[in-house]
Amino acid sequence: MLQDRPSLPNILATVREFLEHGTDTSPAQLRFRAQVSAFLIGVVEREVALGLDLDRQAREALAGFLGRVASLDEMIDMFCREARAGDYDQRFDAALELAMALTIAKVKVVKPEHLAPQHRD
Amino acid sequence: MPTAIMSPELGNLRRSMRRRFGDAVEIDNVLIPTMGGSNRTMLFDLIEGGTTRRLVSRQVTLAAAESPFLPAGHQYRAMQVAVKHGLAVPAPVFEFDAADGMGDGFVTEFTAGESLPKRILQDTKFATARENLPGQLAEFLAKLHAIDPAEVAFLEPYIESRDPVEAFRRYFDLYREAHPALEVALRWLEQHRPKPRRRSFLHADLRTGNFLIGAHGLNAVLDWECCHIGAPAEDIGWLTTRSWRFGNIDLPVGGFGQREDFLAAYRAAGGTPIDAEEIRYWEIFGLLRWAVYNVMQAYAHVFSGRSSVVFAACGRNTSMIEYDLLMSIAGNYR
Repeated sequence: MLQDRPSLPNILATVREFLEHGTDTSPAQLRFRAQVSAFLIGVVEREVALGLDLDRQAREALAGFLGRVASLDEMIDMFCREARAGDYDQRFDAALELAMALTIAKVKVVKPEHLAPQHRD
Repeated sequence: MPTAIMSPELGNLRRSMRRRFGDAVEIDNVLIPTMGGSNRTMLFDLIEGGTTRRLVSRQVTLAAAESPFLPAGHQYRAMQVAVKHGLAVPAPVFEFDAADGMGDGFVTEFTAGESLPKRILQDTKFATARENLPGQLAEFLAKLHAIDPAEVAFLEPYIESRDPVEAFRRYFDLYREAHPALEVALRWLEQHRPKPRRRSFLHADLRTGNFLIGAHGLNAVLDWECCHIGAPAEDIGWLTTRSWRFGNIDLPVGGFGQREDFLAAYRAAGGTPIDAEEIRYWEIFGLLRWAVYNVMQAYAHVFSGRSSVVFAACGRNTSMIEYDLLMSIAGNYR
């Protein structure tokens, strides 16, 4: 998975649970949790719209860096394992750049306006 | 806005007070100001005859075998040491025990003040406070760091007191989720460690949102669940970590001050000289640490029955912290 926990089904179930059972709280807490729920629904909207394309781009970037092709999960695990082992110490800037590209893909789903202008579409 | 509560817990709280202050005491005006990520805080009046005393109960809610937070007993002892040295801390009153049925927690005196970052950073009535806060927090930390670490030797066994970077790698591993950005950042942190420094008693969670202010500035420092022994710059780098500027990114000290002014005040109050690069290292560590906390909340949300929209959002927010982290390592953010 390129995107972090929780998954889309989990997010939807959590918001539904809040709407069904979580509204018995103070007006301030209710307003806050409603705002958070709206944020989460926005995440779902963007992941549905962009997720497949972002996954494909991530696979291509990882395959280019690693010089191997595997599933997205396998390549992310491989990158993490090798970064931890120090395998990229001699090309740290390239590893940083790849990690940045993968992170930008996540922020595009979570809150695109958080990105600096040079990383926005 | 705080909320009045009534719950079975109220009976336990009343009983715990009567065990210590006598059967005639009563409690009233119970409020929960916020629900923290790892603690539950309740404010209440203890009524003894004709006198009313405002107190605060704090209970640990994140009980995990390898929690990154101190057990309440050690938080309580750390606060006792700080109070003994005249630092602005809510005075400890007593620790809960098993017979109280209140779990892991303690009671302190109530300290009035504002802790919400938005109000601290934006409300016009705190304009003077914002001017005073950098100097007051610098003095607080200088005094805290001057305490002989032997007085808090009970903090030595915690991994944060030996190697904070290794500590957060271990916590991160507990949550079993691959994060390329965090792996790259951990490697950078391992390879750019500052020179070893004199070790001090650290609060380790002093940031906007974790202290109370009044019109003239600092009233009390809260949230002692992360304290340990380590390099003084770690405390300062946490205060200046980008996430705690709450949008005021050009005011790195908590969103209200400049690093240079803070460091000058820290030295004037007796603190050791600390250079900007060391602060930068701990700011990058701070972002890594904050990202790991968010991964932790998402893990607990999915796997440990602490499900909520807030913790779900924490999981997805991790990516924004990672972005700031990588931009900081790359030298694009200061």
